[in-house]
Amino acid sequence: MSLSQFDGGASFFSGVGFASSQSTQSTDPTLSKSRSAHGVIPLTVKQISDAYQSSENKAALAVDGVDAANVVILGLVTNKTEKSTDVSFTLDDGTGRINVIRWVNDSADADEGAVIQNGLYMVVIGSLKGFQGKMQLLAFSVRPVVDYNEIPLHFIHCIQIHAEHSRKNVGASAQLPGNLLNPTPTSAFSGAQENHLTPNQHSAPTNNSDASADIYKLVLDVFEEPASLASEHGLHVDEVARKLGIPLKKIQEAIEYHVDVGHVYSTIDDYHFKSACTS
Amino acid sequence: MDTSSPAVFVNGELLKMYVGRRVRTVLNVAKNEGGVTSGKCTDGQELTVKGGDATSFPVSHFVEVIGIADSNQSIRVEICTDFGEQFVSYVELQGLSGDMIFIGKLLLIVVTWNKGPFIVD
Repeated sequence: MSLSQFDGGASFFSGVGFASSQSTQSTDPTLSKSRSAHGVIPLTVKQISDAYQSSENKAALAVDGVDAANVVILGLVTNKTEKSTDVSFTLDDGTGRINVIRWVNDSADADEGAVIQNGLYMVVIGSLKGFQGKMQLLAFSVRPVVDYNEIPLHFIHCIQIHAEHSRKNVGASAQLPGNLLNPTPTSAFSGAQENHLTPNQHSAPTNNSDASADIYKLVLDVFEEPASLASEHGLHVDEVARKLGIPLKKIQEAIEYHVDVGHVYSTIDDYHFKSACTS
Repeated sequence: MDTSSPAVFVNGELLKMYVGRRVRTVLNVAKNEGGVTSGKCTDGQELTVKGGDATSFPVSHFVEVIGIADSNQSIRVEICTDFGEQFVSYVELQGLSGDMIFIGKLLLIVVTWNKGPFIVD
């Protein structure tokens, strides 16, 4: 499922729509571990570094199993060196530092090179290339960050794409409320409390009620059917009840649980729900 | 590539866990006096920063500070950047340690932000 289906809160990501095609590709089961990618992936330097060190094929880097030829990174510029043929600098995104080269072919390139200054936050889109045993970024585009909210947005986008590409793991965690759903609460989250689900806000189906656990699963399966995912408004509770032939009360109870843990969300009114699943 | 000195995203609460380490945070500047700037961090805790250009930023501006955490409540500045008066969203990132997060109401992410694939092992 592409990001475009996240029409509400994820208008957040509308500026980076080019990742959509990438996400769509990642859901194709025929693509194996090193899937070809045509999109631009938002990454941190740490992710690139980890992938480089663990990769046998240094020429074609894969991050989370997806070909990371073209990437977007965001960080502070240091060590800028300007030559007639290129501008090179080190980009520090807080997770690590990477060398970036922007070749200068014409006056437009030269103008872009002049904007690059030490100490500025810049967004760099480019292609990762191994050179003399080191990974560096050949930049197609380098632009300064004007709205600083773009910095956390970039990192949230990195997290989102990482989660999308490691979908199986994330899905497993979401299905089985375990350690990840019971983190040690800290007061660090007070500022964004309304956006977080604290562990005690939901009650998972208990072990001694296997029947209701089954109903929970059946309900979720209905929401995850391709037709349900494709529907803009999702499914009405009555429709789910009709499909499963289970009493409405049980369905509502199951939906309530799935809403609490984030598997489904309400759409146009309190009776329509849609799966948060992206594939 | 060099990932030997990452700057961990912290707020007032998380700063205590990273004393002596390189950290980054954002302060809403409340006071500039005698080379020391103080302000509220994203979780509302008061932090002080020393050194660098931190003292040149106007009160009420949001300032990003990257430096070494030298106590539970203070940071020695290496780099700081004025994020202006319209900065809202660091609070999202600093709340990401192994929790579930909703961005808007639609997107669910379970992730450990400051650890693992992103910042420190």
